[in-house]
Amino acid sequence: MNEINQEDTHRIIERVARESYGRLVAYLSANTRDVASAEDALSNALVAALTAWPRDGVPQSPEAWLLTAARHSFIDLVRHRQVAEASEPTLRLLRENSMEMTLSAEFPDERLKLLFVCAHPAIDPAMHTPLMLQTVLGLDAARIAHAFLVSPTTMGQRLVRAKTKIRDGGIQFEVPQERELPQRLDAVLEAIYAAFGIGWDDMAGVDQRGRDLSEEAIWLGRVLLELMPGEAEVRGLLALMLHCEARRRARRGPDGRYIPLLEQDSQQWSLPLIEEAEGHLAEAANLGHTGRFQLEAAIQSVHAERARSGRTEWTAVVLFYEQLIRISPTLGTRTGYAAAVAEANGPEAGLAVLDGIDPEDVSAYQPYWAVRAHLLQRLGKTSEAVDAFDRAIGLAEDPAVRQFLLHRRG
Amino acid sequence: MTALKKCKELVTFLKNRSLESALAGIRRCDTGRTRDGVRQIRLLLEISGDFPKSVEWAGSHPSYIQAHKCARNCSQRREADAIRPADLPHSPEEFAMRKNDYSDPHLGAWRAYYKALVEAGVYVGANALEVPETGTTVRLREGKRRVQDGPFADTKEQLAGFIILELPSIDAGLEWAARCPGASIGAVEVRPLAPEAMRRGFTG
Repeated sequence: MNEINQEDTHRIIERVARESYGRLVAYLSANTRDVASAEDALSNALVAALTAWPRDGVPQSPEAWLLTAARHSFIDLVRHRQVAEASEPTLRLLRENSMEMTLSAEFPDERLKLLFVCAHPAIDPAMHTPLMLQTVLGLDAARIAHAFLVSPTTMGQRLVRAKTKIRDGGIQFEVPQERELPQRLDAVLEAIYAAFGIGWDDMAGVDQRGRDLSEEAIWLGRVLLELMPGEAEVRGLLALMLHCEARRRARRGPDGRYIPLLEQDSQQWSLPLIEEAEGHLAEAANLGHTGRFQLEAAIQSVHAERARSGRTEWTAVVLFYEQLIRISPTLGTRTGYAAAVAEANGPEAGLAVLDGIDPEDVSAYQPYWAVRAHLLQRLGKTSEAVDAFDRAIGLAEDPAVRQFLLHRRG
Repeated sequence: MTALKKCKELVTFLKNRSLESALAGIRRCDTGRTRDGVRQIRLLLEISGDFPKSVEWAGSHPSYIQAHKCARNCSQRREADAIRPADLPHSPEEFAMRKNDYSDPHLGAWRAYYKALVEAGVYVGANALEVPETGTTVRLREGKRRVQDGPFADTKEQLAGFIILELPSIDAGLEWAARCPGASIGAVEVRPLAPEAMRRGFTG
């Protein structure tokens, strides 16, 4: 086998790994609840594929091949752990399970259960997103650690602890009952959106790693939609992420300069992404359950409208924010609301909204200070504006944003 | 003496970076402040940068403090009359950028960072060091003094300053480190201060 073919094979393995990782981990751990061993088994299977496939050719059903190899490895792993009492139920489950197993490429998609496990109320909410990124997408701990601004060792330990809890803490692999579904689904959506938000803040267009994480989140959003096509909020989240993604290119000047939304050239926004987002939002509206993510997507949709009409309908933005605050009065929502109110009814009205937020809550919240500085400056309150600008500059992480604010402060 | 003034002495200790002396210095900065019910830990943000020799330093800022009182050939160095922690330099690029002009955006970023730390109620102390070339190193070996020009360790990355913060977790420390203007040019290392009891062991 020559070099090029080998390279092709590696690419195929990469693609299969990416597309099937979550499906295989979910399937392998659904009965045993042992996510960590399922992941180890799959890694072993992938390593085996790297040797076998270039030599013997790519199997007809690569996923089934990986599943078989991973299952063998899984049984070995559990056996070797030598914690008899702990591993016995796992082994039994595996044996029972393998009775029905065939080599067919068809096996149930358990990713939805895995997503609900990752965002289970018994798991620390801060670990929901990292768990999803690792178990469903196969991201390694170091990369997740960078994104979450945690040391790689610490992130690795936290992931192990969370997986042990899944295995030993009686967390069931199941789709929640109707009664608790809204709340449980919200945690899943929240975790996916957190991944997107991290990718979004992470110096868009500058840091490749950051951009990837937003793309991973959109991928997760699509997986979830495939598994729950009838849930309005799932579509709402996807619409929201696509609307933001559509503007990615316009957020930076050719020199890397930060460009705020209002100054972005709307011709640079991606129309196909905007259209896709609008499609999902319309579908969601038909389903008849409004929710937080649909409202946030609706706000982005109003902004996107500028690409067509050339102007922003601020009263519409304000109305959506008012509904959003009723459901989810977070700091981010209230700050966004203040900015929208200022555009619709003048800077004083916006400032009044900001004044209603407890100062204790915003001592380290950068967007609040950026909006406040901007509004004070518009009101001609120069020295107060400089103070607020300093707070916003000091709290900024992105050098481009820092530069932008320094320039604005004058 | 304010905690901030005590921190000046820390620089000497930190410069040679040995744990014991650093700890002794840190102890002096300990103001014993805690917040209602929340266990606070103190973190040392060490700001360092790449110091290639080819860069011409522009670091003659009046707020740099005297780093080596003890070194004999370091007779009359500038002493800061007022410490401005926001003026921490941390890499040659930054030294090169630095002007004595206070409208300099680079200084603006540092001052804003300092203000944000203070307003968030996490700031304990900070200071900046002169460029490593200005260092003089003292060793006692077999009873003999050895004085050497230049920094303690001739590595690419050199300690350029430090900030002490009081925060609930290392995670919060990393967050503040990422916001530090030095993080995008040099590096910011975050470390917890040693436990109180251990620090006391060094200082009595």
